[in-house]
Amino acid sequence: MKRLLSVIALALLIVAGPSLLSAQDGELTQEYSIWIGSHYTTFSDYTKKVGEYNVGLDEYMPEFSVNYLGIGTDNLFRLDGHFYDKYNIDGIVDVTIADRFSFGVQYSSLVHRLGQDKLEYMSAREYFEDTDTYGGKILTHELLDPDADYDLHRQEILSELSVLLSRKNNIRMTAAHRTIMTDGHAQSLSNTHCFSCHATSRSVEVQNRTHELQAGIQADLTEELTVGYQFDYRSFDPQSPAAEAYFDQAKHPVNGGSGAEFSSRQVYDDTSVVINQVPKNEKIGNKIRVKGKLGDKTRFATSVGYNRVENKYTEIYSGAWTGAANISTVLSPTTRLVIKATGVRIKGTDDYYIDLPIFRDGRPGPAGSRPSFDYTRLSSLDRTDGRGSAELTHKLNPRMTLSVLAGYERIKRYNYPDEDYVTGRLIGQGKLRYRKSTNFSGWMKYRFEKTSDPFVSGKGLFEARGYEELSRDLRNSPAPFTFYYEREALRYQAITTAPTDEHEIELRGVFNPNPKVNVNLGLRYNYSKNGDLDSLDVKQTTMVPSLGINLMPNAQWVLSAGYTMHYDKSRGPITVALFDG
Amino acid sequence: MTGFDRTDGPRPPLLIRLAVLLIAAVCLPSTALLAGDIENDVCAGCHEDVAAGFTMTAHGVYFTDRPALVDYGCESCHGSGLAHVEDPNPGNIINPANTDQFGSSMLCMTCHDDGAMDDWDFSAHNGADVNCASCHSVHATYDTRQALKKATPDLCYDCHTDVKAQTMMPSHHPIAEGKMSCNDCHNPHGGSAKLTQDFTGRELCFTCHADKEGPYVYEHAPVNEDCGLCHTPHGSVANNLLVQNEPTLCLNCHAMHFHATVESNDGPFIVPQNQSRNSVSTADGWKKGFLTRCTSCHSMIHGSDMPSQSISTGGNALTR
Repeated sequence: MKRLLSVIALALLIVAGPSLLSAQDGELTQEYSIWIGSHYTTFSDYTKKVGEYNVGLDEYMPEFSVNYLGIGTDNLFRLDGHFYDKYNIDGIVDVTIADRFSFGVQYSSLVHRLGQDKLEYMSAREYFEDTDTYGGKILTHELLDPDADYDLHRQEILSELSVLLSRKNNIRMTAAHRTIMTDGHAQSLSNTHCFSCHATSRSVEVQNRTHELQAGIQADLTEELTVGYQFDYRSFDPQSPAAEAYFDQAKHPVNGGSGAEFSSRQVYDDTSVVINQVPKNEKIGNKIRVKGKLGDKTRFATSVGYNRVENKYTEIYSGAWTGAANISTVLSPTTRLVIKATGVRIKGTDDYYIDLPIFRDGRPGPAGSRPSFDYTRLSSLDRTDGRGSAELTHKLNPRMTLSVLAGYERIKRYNYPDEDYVTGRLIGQGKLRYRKSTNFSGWMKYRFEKTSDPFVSGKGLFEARGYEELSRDLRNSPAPFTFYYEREALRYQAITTAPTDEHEIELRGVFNPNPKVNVNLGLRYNYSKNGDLDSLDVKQTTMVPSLGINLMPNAQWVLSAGYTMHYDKSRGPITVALFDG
Repeated sequence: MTGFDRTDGPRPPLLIRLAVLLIAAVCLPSTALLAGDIENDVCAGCHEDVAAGFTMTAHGVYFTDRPALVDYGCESCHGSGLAHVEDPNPGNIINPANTDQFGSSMLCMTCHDDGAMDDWDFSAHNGADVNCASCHSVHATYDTRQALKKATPDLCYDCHTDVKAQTMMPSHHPIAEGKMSCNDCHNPHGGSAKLTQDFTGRELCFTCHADKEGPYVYEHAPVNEDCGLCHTPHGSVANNLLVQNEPTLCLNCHAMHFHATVESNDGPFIVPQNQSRNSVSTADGWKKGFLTRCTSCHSMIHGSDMPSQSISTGGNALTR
């Protein structure tokens, strides 16, 4: 029904739109074109993920487009529509009346082919010389929908409205709404850990809906001061039912016995439970903006906002206070200074308690073999993030401009990986620009970033779980029933391959020998490393040379050609096998 | 204070330059460079092509709504044409396309001072000396939105050639397919992009990928930190826009499973208590199984509300 109403509303707009145009003295100009054609696609030898946005059908498909532009005395009406195939449709309708009113609707759709992971690599059995011997740990896979061809159809409708309510104080109201609809089927994977390692693939229906609403109003309080308010709302709703999977009955992986013992080590077994459920969430934001001028030489723009996002299934939430201040001031006719600062304080749900079954509950054994793994989850979201920079730009002469930037960023994470972990980043940049009229311009830039204590993955293989101390020294006295999950402290160390030092050089030249020819030459070189790591030699090098040529013989044609090479080399030696079971 | 830079050709006489500066200084606060010295028809005498199509431009439509501006026409942006009429040297009239961040931006901003331009003064483009005419063709017919010289992404690719290369990589956002525009994520005039929250890269990504935001009971810390730790937005050789393929990416932070180091047997085998599950192993079976794709088992890699199976992991393995 909603779709039908949308189609009717769009049809009415298309029919009525041109009649909205008003013209004085017959100055109504109209241009339109209709194009009808067909295309054929074949993908007999392609890899689906390479053509992940292609419809992938071996057949002819009709294709057509409609374009209309009407320009009246002070108004415009535009309609563009393109039907490529039933999964790829685009359309835009615009109505504009001078700067007083504008309304537009855009529709776009695409297909996203996901391919299917056949999981063939998940097939192994522990080694026994006599392969007919019963038992041994086993890794297997199972495709419940082996012939499924997974893809998602994504549709987006965006509506935007802008109305000038009063020219006296320049009071303008804006509103926008966006809907994203994602439908199709995706591959859902689950794995059961006991008694064999068994991965299962199944087809699940996807029917996700995202709605986003934004509304705002802005007004000039004085000639020098403008204030605005903006409200944001977004909801995400996965409307298809969550999939369920059966998890094997826990047993000894070799002999199939000891069910009660192994079951007491699992949160669940021999049952069907919901898997891979994406939560419904809702986000609400409010923001106030103030911008203006301080005298003739200084402009500023500031904002303060708060947004809150809530998981509607678990009622977990996070709230963020945000603030920003930007100032631009002209120090002299050839020198300007831009100062920027932002701050964010994010706070998650307080102290979420994870209540798990007692390990080996009801089973025999010494004290210490039935520990509780309950813990209080502290969110890694909790943080204060502050960033600031100052850039001074000076015009050395009519053709050359030099700019120097200095910045600092600081992120304080209250709970991750440990209490009050602080990352600091110092940024420096110099840029020299040369401009010789419109015929040639070029610039060179050097930038560095020096980071202290970059983001790390806390405690290696497993995230923090509130279990601080190992119960025994494994090297000397493995604890019965608990030895296999207890590991040396080394395995819980934080680790990172994020760089501490980063250097970037960029060169670019733009040639315009005449208004019909444009040539771009560029080179970007980036080198980064982590100088704080003793054991890992982390380095990354990126080099991108490029050449682009544009020929514009007249206003209707632009012929573009270009060559860009992207060279990227990363060196981040991976960790060794520390998990010895 | 205008700071207009004119580097083409000889400079006009000092008096005329002062006159232009004076007129500009007086008129800039409200109506750009209104001069009223030369009739539009005089300009059309030489610039016939521009004049003929001007009513079809966005500015032409705008001026029509303001009779007071129509009379000024060309001089609204180009300032007084007196000197240029006397000596048609291009250096004798202001050409916004030929000025730098101290000039043309401020000229255009006198009118384009609405909410969309709030952050232009502080934007990366303005700081990089990109002026309005670098992207906009003011005299072009209203055929593309915002009078752009070319449609995006081709316009952006002229300078951001490294990004162009990335968008051609096997895994990419559907930009080359025409389903996304650079403007969907970036605001070329500074500030936040269309319908997005400010400040963090996470917020921007979640506007389309809202399913990844949670917040979750069982978190994956990099998701809360920065999507860019694992993903590169413009394009990658690794699937799903990952900066590296699995498992290498995961092994940057996590130790591998011990199973991967175990030697396995060759040949077919049958799961003891489920005869329907039979398979074929190789000597490298465990390595393949545990060093191909971590997310085959840790499928809820962005976070989950459901505990994983083993108690000893604290339910935190993101497998369910």
